Amino acid sequence: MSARSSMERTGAVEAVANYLDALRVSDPTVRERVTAQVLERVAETNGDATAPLAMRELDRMVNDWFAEVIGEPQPIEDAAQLSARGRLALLLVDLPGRWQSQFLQPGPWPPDFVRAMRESFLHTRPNDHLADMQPEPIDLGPIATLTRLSRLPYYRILLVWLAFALLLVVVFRLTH
Amino acid sequence: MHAIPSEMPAPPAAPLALAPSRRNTARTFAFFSCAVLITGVGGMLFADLLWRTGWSAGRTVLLILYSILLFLASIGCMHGVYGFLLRRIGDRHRITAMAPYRERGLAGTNTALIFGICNEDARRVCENLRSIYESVHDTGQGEHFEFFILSDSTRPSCWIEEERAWFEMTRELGAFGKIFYRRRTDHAGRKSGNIRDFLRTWGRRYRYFIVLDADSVMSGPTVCDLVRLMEVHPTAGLIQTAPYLVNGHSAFARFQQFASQFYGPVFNAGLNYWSQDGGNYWGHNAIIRTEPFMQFCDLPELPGRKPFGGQILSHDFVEAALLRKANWEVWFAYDLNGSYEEGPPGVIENAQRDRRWCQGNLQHFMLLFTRGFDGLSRVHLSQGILGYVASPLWLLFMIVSSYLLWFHEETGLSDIAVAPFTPYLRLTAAHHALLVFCLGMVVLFLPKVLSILDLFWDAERRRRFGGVGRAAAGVLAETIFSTLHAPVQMLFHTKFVLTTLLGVEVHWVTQQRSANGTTWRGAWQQHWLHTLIGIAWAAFAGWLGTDIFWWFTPVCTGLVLSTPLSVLTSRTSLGDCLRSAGLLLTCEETSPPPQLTRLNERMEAHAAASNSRGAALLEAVRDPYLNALHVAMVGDRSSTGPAADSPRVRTAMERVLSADLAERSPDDEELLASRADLMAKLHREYWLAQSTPAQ
Repeated sequence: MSARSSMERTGAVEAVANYLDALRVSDPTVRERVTAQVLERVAETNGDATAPLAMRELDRMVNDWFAEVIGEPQPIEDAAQLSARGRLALLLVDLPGRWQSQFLQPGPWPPDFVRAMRESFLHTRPNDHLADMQPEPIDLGPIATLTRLSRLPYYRILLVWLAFALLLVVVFRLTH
Repeated sequence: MHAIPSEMPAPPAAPLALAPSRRNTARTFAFFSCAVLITGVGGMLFADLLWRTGWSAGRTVLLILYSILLFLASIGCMHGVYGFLLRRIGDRHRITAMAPYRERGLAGTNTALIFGICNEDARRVCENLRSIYESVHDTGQGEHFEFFILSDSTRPSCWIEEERAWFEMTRELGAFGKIFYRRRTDHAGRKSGNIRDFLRTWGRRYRYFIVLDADSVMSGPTVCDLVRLMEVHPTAGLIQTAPYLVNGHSAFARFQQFASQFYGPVFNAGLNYWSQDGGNYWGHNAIIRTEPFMQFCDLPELPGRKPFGGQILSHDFVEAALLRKANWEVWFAYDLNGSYEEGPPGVIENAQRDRRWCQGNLQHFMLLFTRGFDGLSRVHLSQGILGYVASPLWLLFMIVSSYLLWFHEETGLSDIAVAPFTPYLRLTAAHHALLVFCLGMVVLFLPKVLSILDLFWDAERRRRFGGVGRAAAGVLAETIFSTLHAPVQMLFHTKFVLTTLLGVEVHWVTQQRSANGTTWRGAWQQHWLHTLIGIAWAAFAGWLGTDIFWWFTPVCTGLVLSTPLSVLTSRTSLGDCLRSAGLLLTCEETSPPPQLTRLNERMEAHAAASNSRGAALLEAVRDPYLNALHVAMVGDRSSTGPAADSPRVRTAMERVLSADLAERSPDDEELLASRADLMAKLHREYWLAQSTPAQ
């Protein structure tokens, strides 16, 4: 193996390891198995393993696995959405805590795991019970007259002049 | 399996028209008559004092202002006096004493506890909710309650943090299906609109709902007691608790929380004396009967233009008034413990909050004469308005006083004092002035003295405040602080009232806070004008005469020292010093409830961990689980907007992927974070980009 190939392979291993870290997959056996699977699949299809190729392969493998475990209808139109659905299921079934050994394992899987993955549902809100609310009009009484005054043209200008006139009266009274 | 039925049980029939009872009318008359009596006596004395040096138009203005201000202070004083007496002799007419309720079961009830939040600290909100949830479940009654976080957050980083905090908390508690999270994309109606959206969507599921703010905490027993009280009082539409300020660390927050807890029980007893079933609603820490609230409290927009027209900003007072108008009772359960909130940490934050409240309270002027409103509702609305309008009136009083003194000096009139028109007083002019001054001081400080006296009858409370000596020292320290703070508050409020009336927005310079509080620069930006006014006024008073200078000293000192006062009282170090010295101790500090202790421990743990958290949006792109969670929670709402391959979206995605915060705009963040398809795609592209060597 050339030095370059060796470096590329190391980069590929690191890229896979980083994503496994992000998924909180810490079991060394699982990490080793997944890394080997990825590198093997890359070698089969592309020859030398590089980090981008390894990540694409890992992405494809994870999505295929999600589709099988969750039982989403094929073909998958939006890989990113399927990936998100699968990762949410992993989060809800607590993959890092309970099911690391099943990650990217070919079937059959333990029935509990499959059921948990398929039935995982994020319960953010209860069922809607829609009701109608309508504000009742408020009779503001004498204030309503003021609000009608405010619709008069130039009322602000008139108010300023009135305030000025009042000020003159006050000044006059205070100084005389 | 949870016990909340899918449909709310049949609502109780609306109560028949409640004519004001003779008892309520008598109480209101007695209470406010005392304030009128004090104002009458004080006004007479003051008028007589002014009379001695000859009457003038300026003196008429001064007398009117003095009478208004004395009346407001007298109402405060009467709250203290009545509260003190009621705590001694007991008051059967409080909602917790009118019928036995503790034995009442909660079977068949269903209550939602709702946290309306907007760009708040998500961890803090969730920890507050968790503490209530755990406390409610410790009572064994958890099955009757469900919790909602109702987010109106507009900043993507905030709402992503909310999603993460909600999920982690709910999973830890095993409370999926009991604690819910909903974010509105349409923020119509602000807080009241947020609650209305909840009611329109889920209101029919619950017989009651308890409104909580982001910083609200309530104990489980208090939550259950509120429901029991509603059950045994079927005509009660709303019960407000008295939330006490807690968790203050800065000196300012400790002054406030000491005042709230030390004077609060006495004042609140006085408030309940006259308000009875015509109480008020403060917007949070209150239980509401859902059906009448949905029927009568959807707020219309007010006619006319801002600041008085449009959406009702301070909705709580108005909602209470609307419930009263529909003959539902509104009670103040002031003696239920276990209801808490937090206060602002400094003078500037306090003023920022007052700015919002000021506009809302002034807007209530539009509703003062609404047909059908209960008289007590009008009193509550008036008090809210006068709470802010009092400041410009006080300033005007000071200005007119100064003018009269200057006029006297300028014209060279002699100081010949004529006999007062109340000749039996036989006082010299100086003694007469001293009597007027002393009356004012008694009105202002009597409630504080009565609060100290109250300790002598309550050994438990005395112990919790560190003994009478320490409590009295705390009152002295708080009085000195509030004396210095009051003129600063006066100028702030005057500015707020004027700008609100003129329809001018107040732009706050972004608060500059260090870890230990307000910075000197930040404080100077807010207080330089206060300082200059204080110096100028002191110089003017000194020029008029030494005696006059000393009369103005308390006001001028607060203004001149406003910057250091603001900086120093915002510091936690000073707050800690006061606590070490045994000053301003509160019940929640000397005997902290386990619920608050656990809450604070968790918050400290989060504070230690929060440094390692990256920007929330980038986290939601990078982290496979957070990304999946966010995508799921944004959900179906995200189908509209520009296509995923449009230049606008591509540019935004590239900026986020470059992790260059400087390049990223809030619009980019909102566009991406609000679209499930884009966030899912971003996650994939992020990890593929990470594995690509840099060119």
